[in-house]
Amino acid sequence: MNEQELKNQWLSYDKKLDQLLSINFEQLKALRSDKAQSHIRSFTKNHIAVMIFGILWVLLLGFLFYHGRDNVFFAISIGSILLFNVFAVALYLKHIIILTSIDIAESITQTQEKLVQVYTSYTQTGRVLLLQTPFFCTWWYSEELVQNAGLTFWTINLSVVAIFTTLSIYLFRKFSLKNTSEKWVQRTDKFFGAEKLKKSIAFLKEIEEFKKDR
Amino acid sequence: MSPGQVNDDFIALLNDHKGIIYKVANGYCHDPEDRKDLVQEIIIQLWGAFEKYDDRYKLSTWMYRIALNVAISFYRKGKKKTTAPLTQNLIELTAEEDSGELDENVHLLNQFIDELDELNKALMLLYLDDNSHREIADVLGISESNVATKLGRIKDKLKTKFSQLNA
Repeated sequence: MNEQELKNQWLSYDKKLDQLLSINFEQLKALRSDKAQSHIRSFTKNHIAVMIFGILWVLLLGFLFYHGRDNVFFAISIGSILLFNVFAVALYLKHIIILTSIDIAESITQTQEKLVQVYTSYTQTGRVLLLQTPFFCTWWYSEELVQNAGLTFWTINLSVVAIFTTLSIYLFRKFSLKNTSEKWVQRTDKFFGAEKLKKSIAFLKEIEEFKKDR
Repeated sequence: MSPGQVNDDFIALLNDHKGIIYKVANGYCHDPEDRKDLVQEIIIQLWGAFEKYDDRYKLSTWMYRIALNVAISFYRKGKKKTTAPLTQNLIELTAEEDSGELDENVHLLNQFIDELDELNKALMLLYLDDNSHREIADVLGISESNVATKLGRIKDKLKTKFSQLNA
């Protein structure tokens, strides 16, 4: 069978489909009255809600930083947390700008590239935010505590800080898309969403390859 | 144009081109329940974009852009819940088609399309629906020569597949 014959068969299948398909108007009416939202729009709305929460959180951190700046431990801890969160809010803002610029009627490579970029950056934001965890263990330290607390106190406290630091760096690195063949690492990756991220990045590469004229 | 007129025009468009939605949804989604959700998502997006439709483009090409964009995103994100779960299909097939009376070659062609990656699948669907290289390039966002090169490769694969089956 040659190419044209095959194409003709497909076109006659198309005509046949047109006769056999019917629209369920009742469902269509229900869909319109439900004001159903598209996934992109609800994803954007979620982003806006999280960003508003993030801005309020940053303002609170700024307030705390300003009023507690005399305590060096508090200032460093809250200041660091503040910077991580400002970074996250800025990225969310960037995502919202990209998401609102998406026109679903644009070309496929253009739209998909934007969507995958937002998804990739979204996961990376979570990855970076993990690094703020140890600072939540140190904000309440004071010079008085440093001078007077005993060895047992510091052993326990610094162990907790060390555990959180190790864990946050471990998870940060797990999201870094390094390939590994160990099964337990693959399972961890899957649990923390790194697998989806890898797929998104692979798709982004696929789009770039697809656009190449060769 | 009044909202009622927009709705009537949209329904007429949907009726004229329902095959596009069906073929795209079928090509990217195998699970009947998920497919129902995908069809709903495509229609929501089409409806939302209809008022901004740019009549410099062919209606079918515009529909393909949206339907393929939604299907690829849906496929990549995996199973998900829609905001308004449906109990019935928005676009239904009569029992006759469901009984599997598809021509064998069309069936094989559907199988072949199924094996392609998301972007090449879009390319093949557009090609089979008799879109020009210019239109395919526009929908996909690549050059016309790139379309020709990629189509050439896919056709070679298709020839090999059919000749193997006929041998």
